[in-house]
This record gives sequence, C-alpha cells and structure tokens, in this order.
Amino acid sequence: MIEFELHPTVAAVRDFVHQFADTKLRPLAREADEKGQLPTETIKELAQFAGNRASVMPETSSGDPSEKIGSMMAVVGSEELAWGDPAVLLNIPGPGLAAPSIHAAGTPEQKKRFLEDIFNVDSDEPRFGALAVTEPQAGSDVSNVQTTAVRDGDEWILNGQKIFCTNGARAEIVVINATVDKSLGRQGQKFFVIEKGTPGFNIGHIEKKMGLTASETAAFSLDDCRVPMFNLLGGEAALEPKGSGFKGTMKAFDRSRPSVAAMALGIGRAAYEYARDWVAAELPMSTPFARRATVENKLAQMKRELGAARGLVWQSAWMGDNEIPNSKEASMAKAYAPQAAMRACIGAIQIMGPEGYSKEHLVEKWFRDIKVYDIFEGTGQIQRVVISRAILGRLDK
Amino acid sequence: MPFGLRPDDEQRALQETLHEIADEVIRPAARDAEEAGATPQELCDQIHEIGVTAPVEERYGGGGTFGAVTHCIAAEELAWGDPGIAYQALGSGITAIVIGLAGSDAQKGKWLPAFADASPARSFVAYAEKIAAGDLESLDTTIDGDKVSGEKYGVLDADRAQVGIVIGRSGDGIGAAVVEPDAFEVAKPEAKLGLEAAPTAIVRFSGEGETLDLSDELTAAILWSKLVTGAIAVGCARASLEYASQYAIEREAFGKPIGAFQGVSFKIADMATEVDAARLAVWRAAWKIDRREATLADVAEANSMALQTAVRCGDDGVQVLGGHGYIRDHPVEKWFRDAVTLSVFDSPDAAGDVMLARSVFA
Repeated sequence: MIEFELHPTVAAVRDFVHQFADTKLRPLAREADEKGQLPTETIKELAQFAGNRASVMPETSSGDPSEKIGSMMAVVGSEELAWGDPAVLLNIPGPGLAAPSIHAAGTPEQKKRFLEDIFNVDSDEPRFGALAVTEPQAGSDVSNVQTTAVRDGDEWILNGQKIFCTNGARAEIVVINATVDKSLGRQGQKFFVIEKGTPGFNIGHIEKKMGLTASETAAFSLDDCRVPMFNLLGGEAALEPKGSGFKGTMKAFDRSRPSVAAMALGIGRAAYEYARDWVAAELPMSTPFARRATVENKLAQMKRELGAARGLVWQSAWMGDNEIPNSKEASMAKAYAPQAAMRACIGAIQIMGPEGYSKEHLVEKWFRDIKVYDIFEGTGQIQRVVISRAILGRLDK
Repeated sequence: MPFGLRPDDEQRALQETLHEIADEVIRPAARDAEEAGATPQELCDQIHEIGVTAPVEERYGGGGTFGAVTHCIAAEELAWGDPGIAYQALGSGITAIVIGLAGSDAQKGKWLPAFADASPARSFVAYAEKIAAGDLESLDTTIDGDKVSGEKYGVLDADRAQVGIVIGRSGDGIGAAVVEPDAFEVAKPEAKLGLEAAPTAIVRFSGEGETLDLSDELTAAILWSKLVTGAIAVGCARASLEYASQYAIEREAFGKPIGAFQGVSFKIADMATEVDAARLAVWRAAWKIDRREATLADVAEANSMALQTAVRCGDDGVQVLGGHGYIRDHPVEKWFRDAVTLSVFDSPDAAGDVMLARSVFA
C-alpha cells in the first residue's frame, strides 16, 4: 500500500514529543546557546524524559518489533526534538551514538553490560555514551585512522587521538575504532569500548563551535590506554577475517542517518515557521507588491523543500523498518535535508532582515546550528559518494 | 495501514507492463512521433488498451476506475518512455477522470461510453492561459451559467476533439464545463519547444457548455488532472537520470569512466535524490486526492517539486553527456526540451509557487 498516514503510535509519539519540545526545549534554547551548556538540574529533568526515550531515540527505539515502526518513531521524534532545540536535544542523556555500533557488532554480553547495566542504573545522575571515529588526519577518509590497538595477553593497548566527539568528555562509555592490522586497511579496524576513568584515556579540550554550542564536543587522547579483551566489540570472533569489521559496523549508521537528517529537517522547519509567523505579524499588507511576492515565494520554496526532505527521511526510515536495504536512500535524506534546512535558515534571516541576524530571535542561532548537519555523520559529499556508487558502481578502481 | 511506500500487487503489475511497453514500443517511436508532431493512433490505442488512460466504470462499458496514486504510477512509467507520447496518451483520459468523478449520471451516460472504446474519444482539459499558465486562481476564462468564454493555450487535440473540459472562473471560484466542438474553434496550432508528440493549439471558447456541479469531487478531479503533469515530469526526470547514469559508466575520459569523477557522480547523486523527493511529493498529493483531502497547495507543491526536478535533470542530463547530449542522436536534449515545456503547463517558478505561496498564509 502507498499510504502517507502515520501509524497511530508514531503520530502519538510525534504529538507527545512536540509538546515536550515546545514547552521544555525551546525555552532553554537561547540561554543554553549563550552559556555553552545546560544546568545539571535541567539535564536531570531531561533524563526523566529520557525514560520515554526508548520510543523516540533511534539507538534504543524498541517498541513492538512486529509493528516495524522503530525508525519511523525515531525520525518523527527527532524532527520534533530538533524543532525544539537541536543542542538541547543532544543533552538528553543516553547511550547516544555509542548504541548503533554496539547493537551492530556487540555480543549479547556486551549489549547487556554497555547498554543496559551502565545506563539502567538507579541514579538520577545523567549518563551519556559517545562514539569517536574522527581524528585530526582522518575525517571523511576513515581509512586513514591512525589510532592503533595492540594485543597484550588479555588486554588491548590503545594509542591515538580522537576529536569532534559529541559528549566525549562526560560519557560513561566511548566507542572508538582503532587499527589492529594496518595491512588490512579499513577491514583491519575494530571497535573498542572505553569506560570512563580508564587510565590513559585523557580528555583534552572542548571545542568552541559556530553553533550547537550547548552540545559538548570533545577531543581526547589514548596514551597506552589498556582495555580488557571483553571491550573489543564482537569479542574474539571480530578478529577473524570475516569478523565484524568496519564496514559491517558502519552499516549500523544506515539506521541513524535518517534520524540525523530528521533533526536537520526539524531545525529548518523551526526557521521556516518562525519566519512565516514573523511575516504574518510584522510585514504590513501595504508592503509593495513585488517585495511581498518575493517574500512569499521564498517561504513557498522553503516549505516545498522541507516537504521534499521529509519525504526522503520517511522513505529511508520506512525502508529500514521493513528491512529493505536503505543505504542509498538514507544518504539521500542526509544529503538533501541539511541543505534544504540551511536554505530555510538563510531564507528566514533574509526575510526578517535586521531582526533575522539579531540575537533577539532564534533564527540566527538555527542558522549556526544547522551548518554542522551537512558535515557530521558523513558530510554531504560523502553521502553523494554513497549515492552515486549505489547507482554507478565503483568506477574509480 | 500506516505510512508505507510499497505499491500493491495491481500497481506493481501495471508498472511492469507499462515499463515494458515504454521501453520496447514508446521509446523507439519517440523521435518519429516528435518529428511528425503527433503520436500514431495505433500506439495511443495500444496504451489505452492496458486500461490506465481513461477510467470508465463498467456500467458505461469501461474497464473500471482507479485512483490518482495508481494513475501517477502509470504516468511516470509512460513518461519514462517518452513525455510527449505520455502526454498525448493520458491527455484524453483526463477528461474521463473529470466527468467520471464530477459529472451527473446523465453527463456520465452521455460522454463516458466514448472513452471506453478501443479507440477512445479525443478530448482535452483546458486550463492554461496566456498569462495564467497554470495558476487556477488567476484565470480570465469565464463560465457563466452555461456560457463559456475565453482563450486557452496548450489545448490537446483541439482540431479533432469530440469533447473537452474548460476550467474557468465561475462566480468567485473555479468552475468547469464540458464543451463540444460547436463551442470552440482553433485559433492557432502551437509549434512547441517540446512535447511535440502531443499536438496542442490555442483555442477560442465561445458558446455553451454543460457545467459540472461544484463539489468536492470536482475539486479532486481538477487537482488530479493537474497532478498528472507532475507525474509525467517525474518520469521525464527519471529518464534523464538513468540515461546519464548509464553514460557515466560507459564513457571514458582521462583514463577512467567519467562517473569516477565527482563533478559527474555528484550530479547523478543529486538528480537521483531529487527524483525520489519529487515522486514522493507527487504520490503524497495523489494520496490526498484519493482521500478527497487535497488542496490546490498540495498539488502546487508536488508539481513545483516535480517540474523543477525534471528541468534540472534535463539540464544535467545533457551536461553529463556533453556535446553528445546536445545532438539528437541521444534523447536527453529532447527530455530537457520536454521538461521545460511541461513546466510551462504548471510553471514551477510562476504558477506553481504562486499557488503554494498563497497557501503559506492560508
């Protein structure tokens, strides 16, 4: 069936999350942006909401698997949360981006320990997970990762530097990739879990960013950091030639890319709606026809592009839920939505003029926030590599 | 059923059948039809026989009706073969859609049987005007009682149409009237940039027609007839995308297939992304039409997306083929011309977005 009505559960999640985003996240947006962080009390409050996180965050969306709506819930939830505030959203405690790789590559014992035991504790202290792939010399080119893992009996010794790690400094666990065998290229990279406080896991500086300032972006180094054998994702089996390698683990991100695209969509929609309401309230009907027409046309274009982005996001999520390979479509959503949202943010600023760039309003903040969505979780360029390879095959060999 | 994008068995079978015909029959016929300025009757009949061009209820001798989503799936596939031939083959049937949805029993009994024939009635739905190409809210043509008066552009098969529908201003709103040849005359055949397989003309309407009663059904019917243009645009865009992709794999430059260069492959990736986005927008509008929830803005949004995508893919399709794209040995230059011509029927930068813009504050 070709059907555009949301599953009732998904629609209910959207409405519930929207309410939360509107009443809890949006009011925090400006202050969080200025201070570059949220008060611990606020994060604790968000953690209570995170009790319901299971239904809205991509990494743990469970629900009834037979209903096949986990990804759909994740994308509609993500759009609403980011509409509220994208930086505050990233402060909602939970395993975060550590989860997809643990889900994809972890043994049942590892999933239990790293996703359940660590996070389902009876404490109101917020707990985060993180994923660290990027290094100073390895961004889009992940094959260039320099961090090494050398086996020493029942332990691994990790050495290297990681940067741009969301929640990396405060995380209970950080999943990293490191090379166990350089001669194998990317397939020689394995994923390890590092727990907070492990000797040799040294937190460096927190980045000062253009936007998403209230989201913690950390650098850290691994200096002879020893982790037990247990912390190699997939266990000993991962070391076999066909063991869970880099590619297999990255497949997990076919599930999270739609949610990241949905967040971009939420930011773009926030800017569109803000500008639309501003025009309705502030732009006199007596504005010269050409000016008014130009403004309305820009709004129309924003609306159309965001609608198109939502189509791509939902398509990729629906495919994921129905176990249809969606690597290309997830990349389409991730390539398109951030750019559509960026155009919406720039358009909103231009429509509102001096009030658009003013810190009195949030559109200038959304503009700063949105840019990174076309960069992190795979740049727009890398998404286009994925899409075009799916269509053309690998032609560069 | 919640959100889903899987065509049902019937739609899938239709898609496969039409794709085969598009590939084996329509595409090879496209250049000749373009040069002749008309689609051969046998080809029109062959497409009609599949039962997707004119939905006519069994009681009027037809093969049954179908919804807008199914129609859009069919239109994309036919247009993938050739947008001009698709426009011709689907154009007549749109009249049957409008009468079938919005006509009275008497009107249906009078006109629908002619669309159930093996060789269906030639007809048109006329909405484009010189100034308001696709903008239904700025029409100059009036429908006053039974009186129809105005000038329409892009009227399909005007010289041999047995029946047609005129969309015009009626009181404060939009109305529609069924007209027969005594109520119109061809002012001038149009020599067009593209879509030449579908002959069109400037037509002057002056006379009496039978109005279709204003109702939700009529709104849905008018929106549906407009949305077909968007669905054809998606097929046109996809044709360019797929042709350029194949070319990028085969053509070599600097010792590699040109698709190995990101200047080319990223274009392909963007085209593919927008084709999917456009199709989803069209399906969404069609789904709303089938539920009788669609507004002008929904169709404007879909058509605007689809036509913009078709024009962009037409342009980039030619670009990927370079000089080869510019010559008539390859079809991409044709699809580019077809896309731009289609866009005039529901112009993305003028009419479509104007209607969408109005909806922003609706």
